[in-house]
Amino acid sequence: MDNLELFKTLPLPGIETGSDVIKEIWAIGGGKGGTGKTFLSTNLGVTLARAGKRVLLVDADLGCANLHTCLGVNPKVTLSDFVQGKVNKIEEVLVETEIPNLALISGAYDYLEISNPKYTQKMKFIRKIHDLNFEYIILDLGAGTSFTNLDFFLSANMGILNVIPEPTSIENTYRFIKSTFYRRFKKVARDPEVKEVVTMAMDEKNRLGIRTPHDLIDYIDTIDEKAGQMLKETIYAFSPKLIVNQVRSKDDITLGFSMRSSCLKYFGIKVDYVGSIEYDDHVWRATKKKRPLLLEYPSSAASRSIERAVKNMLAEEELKFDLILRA
Amino acid sequence: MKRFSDQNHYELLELSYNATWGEIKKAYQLAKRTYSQDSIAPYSLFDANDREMILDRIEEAYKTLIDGKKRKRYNQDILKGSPELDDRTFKDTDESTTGETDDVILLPGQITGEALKQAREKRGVSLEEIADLTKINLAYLQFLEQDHYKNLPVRVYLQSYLQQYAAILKLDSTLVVDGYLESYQQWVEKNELDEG
Ligand SMILES: Nc1ncnc2c1ncn2[C@@H]1O[C@H](COP(=O)(O)OP(=O)(O)OP(=O)(O)O)[C@@H](O)[C@H]1O
Ligand SMILES: [Mg+2]
Repeated sequence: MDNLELFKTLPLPGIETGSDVIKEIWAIGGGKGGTGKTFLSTNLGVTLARAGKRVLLVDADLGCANLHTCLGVNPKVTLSDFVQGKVNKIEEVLVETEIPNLALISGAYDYLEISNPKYTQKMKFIRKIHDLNFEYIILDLGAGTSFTNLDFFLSANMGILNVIPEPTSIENTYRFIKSTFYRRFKKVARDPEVKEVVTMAMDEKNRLGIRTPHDLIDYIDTIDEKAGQMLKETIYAFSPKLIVNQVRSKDDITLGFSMRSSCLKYFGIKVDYVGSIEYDDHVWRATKKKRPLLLEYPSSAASRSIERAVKNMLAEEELKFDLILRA
Repeated sequence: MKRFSDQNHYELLELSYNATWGEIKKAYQLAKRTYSQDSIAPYSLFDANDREMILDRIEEAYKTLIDGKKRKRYNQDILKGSPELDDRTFKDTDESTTGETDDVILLPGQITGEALKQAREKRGVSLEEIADLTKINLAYLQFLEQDHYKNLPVRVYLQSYLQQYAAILKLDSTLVVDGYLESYQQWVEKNELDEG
């Protein structure tokens, strides 16, 4: 099984843009550290690869890479080799895994200095990653709301928020949502005065009295109606998926529906609640063995939940509140 | 997008206008739980005061919608135009039932914003009037008629806006909502492909 050879023989993007092949970029983020983003990315990737898709997992946690460990691989090349120009083509940092169809770009675990790259440089390698010839590209983000995280998240066509049923994680998830679309908005806004207002609004105790995104829109509408409209568009175009990980009760599962409602009322955005994953001892047992859960314990509760979540995401479906009530 | 204080009962409970009794009960149950003082879901977004206000409104919405008579009256209230406007639209509707007019005919299937606009103009109602009566942002109504899908609010709200639009013009709301959402959905799907 020589994945790498297979990847190398694939037509280079740009030469032939296989228009019949749909490419999906998924980014897994959500603010707080240790909620299971890497665990989830790994197993989403494995699920898709086992369903016959050509999948690339990218460790986008530039400061603190560990995706390779979850897959039990020891990569000789990493993203930093490309960023630093040690290799010329991004294809050269592709690493094969034990799973056919699943490739990895390992994070720069030995080069802290690239954890906060310059914007243009970052956008360049994000674009290069996007151009790679895979059906699914999964970006495992680091914790927090660094610009790098936000830019990776915004670059995806599906953003997945990983939350656990704890106030700290919930708070960070909302902060992540807010930072993400404020970031996007600042990138699209032209007027420096508008940019300035957005920056100020990021601070919850700003002197303009802007508390909610509604306030911000109203305020910007008064300076520049067109910019206000743009902010609305930005908000509506933003529709991330939500996965509640480490659930231990029915209440924990319901949390996803409640967060969906809170996001709609507060941000005016529609979050799709695509799945919940049990807190499951099999997860750490697999982690200890440096093996993906889906391979090591395919019939565990958490494995099945992940497969269900993937199914929902592929079918553009959501969890149904009815099912929880009846359960 | 409306602030929760401007949302009507359906929008507040995230329900469609034709929600069944069971759906209303479930939505109420979830909403009450979501905004209760000990719920962690709205943590850092809505403080105790906000929650109290939302809960009061949820209570009011539920009491109204769950009671058949009250719901009917409420629907008439929010979905009805002014008496003056009623006169105008009523005449047309009346004639259309006799089938001898050039009144708006909406067929099942996809409906575009242009078709809606034509229907509205036949009724002699301006967009500003609709915006006034429904409190829907005029810009959204314009986007709606221009098939400016990208700028429209999320689906649950869009559905609610369409319903109110249809009701004011006395158009068949099921045809309008389903037909328009069909076009909208097609755009959503196409857009997803394009992005990929
Ligand atoms: N559903 C679960 N059940 C049990 N343990 C879990 C579950 N999900 C994740 N864990 C455990 O939580 C720990 C953190 O997971 P992981 O490294 O994936 O988090 P992360 O969000 O990527 O963290 P970071 O922000 O530091 O990158 C791991 O030890 C993992 O085994
Ligand atoms: Mg991680």
